[in-house]
Amino acid sequence: MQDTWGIPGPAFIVGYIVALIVVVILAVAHRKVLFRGDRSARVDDLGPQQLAYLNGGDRLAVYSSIGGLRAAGALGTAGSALVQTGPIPVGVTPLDSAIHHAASGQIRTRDLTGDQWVRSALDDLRTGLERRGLAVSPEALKQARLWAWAAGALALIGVFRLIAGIQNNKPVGFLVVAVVVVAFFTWRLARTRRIATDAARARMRELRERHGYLSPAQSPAYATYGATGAALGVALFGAAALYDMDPAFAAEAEIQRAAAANGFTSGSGSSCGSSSSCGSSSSCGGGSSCGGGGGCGGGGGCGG
Amino acid sequence: MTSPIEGGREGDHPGQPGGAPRSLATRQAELVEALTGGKPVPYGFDAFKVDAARVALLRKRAGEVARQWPMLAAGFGDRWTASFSAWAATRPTQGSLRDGWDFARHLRSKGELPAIAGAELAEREARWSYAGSAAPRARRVPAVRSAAGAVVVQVAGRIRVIRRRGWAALRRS
Amino acid sequence: MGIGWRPEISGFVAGLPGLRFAEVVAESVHAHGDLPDGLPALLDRGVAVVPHGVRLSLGGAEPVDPARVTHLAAVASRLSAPLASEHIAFVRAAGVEAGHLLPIPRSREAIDAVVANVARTTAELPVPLALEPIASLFDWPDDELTEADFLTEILDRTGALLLLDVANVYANARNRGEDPLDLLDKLPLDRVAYVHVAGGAEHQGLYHDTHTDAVPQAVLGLVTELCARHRPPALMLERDGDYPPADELTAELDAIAAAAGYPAITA
Repeated sequence: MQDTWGIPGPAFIVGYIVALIVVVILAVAHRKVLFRGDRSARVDDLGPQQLAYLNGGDRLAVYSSIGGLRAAGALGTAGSALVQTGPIPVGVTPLDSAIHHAASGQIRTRDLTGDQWVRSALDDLRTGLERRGLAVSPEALKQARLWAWAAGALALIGVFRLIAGIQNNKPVGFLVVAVVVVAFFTWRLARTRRIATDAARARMRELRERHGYLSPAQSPAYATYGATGAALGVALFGAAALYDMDPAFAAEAEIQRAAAANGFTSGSGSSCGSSSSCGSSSSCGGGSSCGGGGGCGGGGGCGG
Repeated sequence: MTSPIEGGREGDHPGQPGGAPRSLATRQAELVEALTGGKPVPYGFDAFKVDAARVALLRKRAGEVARQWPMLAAGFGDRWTASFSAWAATRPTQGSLRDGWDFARHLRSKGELPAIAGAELAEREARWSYAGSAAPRARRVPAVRSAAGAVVVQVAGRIRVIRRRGWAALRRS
Repeated sequence: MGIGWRPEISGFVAGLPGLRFAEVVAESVHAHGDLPDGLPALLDRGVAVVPHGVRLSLGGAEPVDPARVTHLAAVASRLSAPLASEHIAFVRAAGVEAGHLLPIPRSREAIDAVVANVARTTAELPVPLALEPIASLFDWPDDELTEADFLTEILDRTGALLLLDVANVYANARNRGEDPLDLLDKLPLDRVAYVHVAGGAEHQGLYHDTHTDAVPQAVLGLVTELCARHRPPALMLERDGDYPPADELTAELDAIAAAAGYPAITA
């Protein structure tokens, strides 16, 4: 029987895989260059919403703003829409003002990004970050996605070969698997999404360390840390911080809990809070809650 | 720890009718039971004050459970302390995690679990196996649990909430 | 001048420039493994951290659980603490947890129980132990001794130090209708290792030592009275929940420092 296209099966497969590997390596290298960002950029002077954007895009930036406004008593919920419950605090960012204004008309959280003023505030925020080399520009993203074409072409070759091979009654098992793998890579490359540059991510990691006290695992006292603390907590640790701060509000406002790339896979306080009474603790001597911090603390008569 | 009777006073409240000496341990146990298990206040104590202490204890407990089960507490809003205290008045504490768990299960069995607390309970049920009599243990096998309309799947420690509060959206946590 | 360290306000505590000592709930520190987030930074700064036990139940008729004693000792070593502290109270009986610190009768039998448990504890502790008398809404019917005599005898027989909680002194005096200064006069103030200051609130005619409210002026007054008699080596604010904005905490710390005649730690 003739080899399809004159190339023996095994040889083709090997060549195909090699081609795929080459494409992937080149794509990864190119992406590394594209996403590197400005090494010397600093994040210290960024506001919480900018940090939130780097951590979780538009949505987290909005959540961070909502967190700050809520902590300042300016936002509440009525039904499942956001409403104003107080005046706009002083010294807020354009995004805060935009959201607060939008809430005057009772808006759902998910519709906030459709509001014109909010949208433009977010755009300004993003371009500012791009200029500083902290956010990946749309052009860079587009370039990274070009590699999907290369992978796609490879996939197409594989499909043609598959068809030809079937017509010639050749065994095509391995080829099918290879084409599936290539298709998978094509899909991943086409869906490339990156918000923060590598430089920004490294800085964010440092920030998260420095502000570890705001992590939901510590059950931070948001009243003590203030509105800025609340906004920063959401920015660094994701929407879970909002749920930690004000669970009823977060639920009503339909805040999506998974909003943060790497902040926290929390899901209803599964992080067991700060206390260690999570079923496996040793030093707490079975049973009684250790209240690492709350309630158990020392002294006196009956906690009111 | 008992000490020899001195002048017939040890363990005996002056005036207590026909009292045999009772050890400190027994009397401490009686007090604890009065405060946590709904038993009557032991003889000689100021009942008003002991009851004030009992109520304060429940309030403190409610606060601790709310920290461990925020969505459950949020579902009750202002009525949380009252609702929890009413249930917990005759049940001594097993630690705030277990207290909240038992309470949530109790509510679920009566169909009164608040909607927003459903996912919280379902997730914990899926992650840990808790029989009610010992500390919860992490599950090794995948599990699906549901509560108050929320459905949660757990595979290898990762949680996926399938339905939360009637929303049909699929989310990965 | 110090503060009770809690994870909820760890950021605030970390930001106190003049902080020299802090107290941490012993049961929230693991003997092995990671320290709570924020605590290592404090230790690096040279802040003295004291473990404060709440679940040993030294006042219980039952012998104290050896595992708990070992844990307290281990934590004290781990933190390189200058001392450890616990309460003159019991928290469980006959296997039932009370969930809170309960008073013990001021009787000889109870004194024997406490002394025995303290002896078991200090035998294993690498550092001195300070005992804190608690505030209680009620008293036992068969109290034989006054509080001052009771405490003095326990301290004498155990050789332990005194952790004086001024808020507890105030609460007890108020609920019994006595004069808190009386007690201050009769206590061995030279045995005071450090002092707690905390807030409370009144419900139905009784003063509750809640640790979740602001420190009342009367308690601050007692601090001043105490320092006039014998200034303690250290004082701290003890707050367990419902934390107010940072400004209020700062103001409270400053007020306590001022009442005690110590420099403020907030600037």
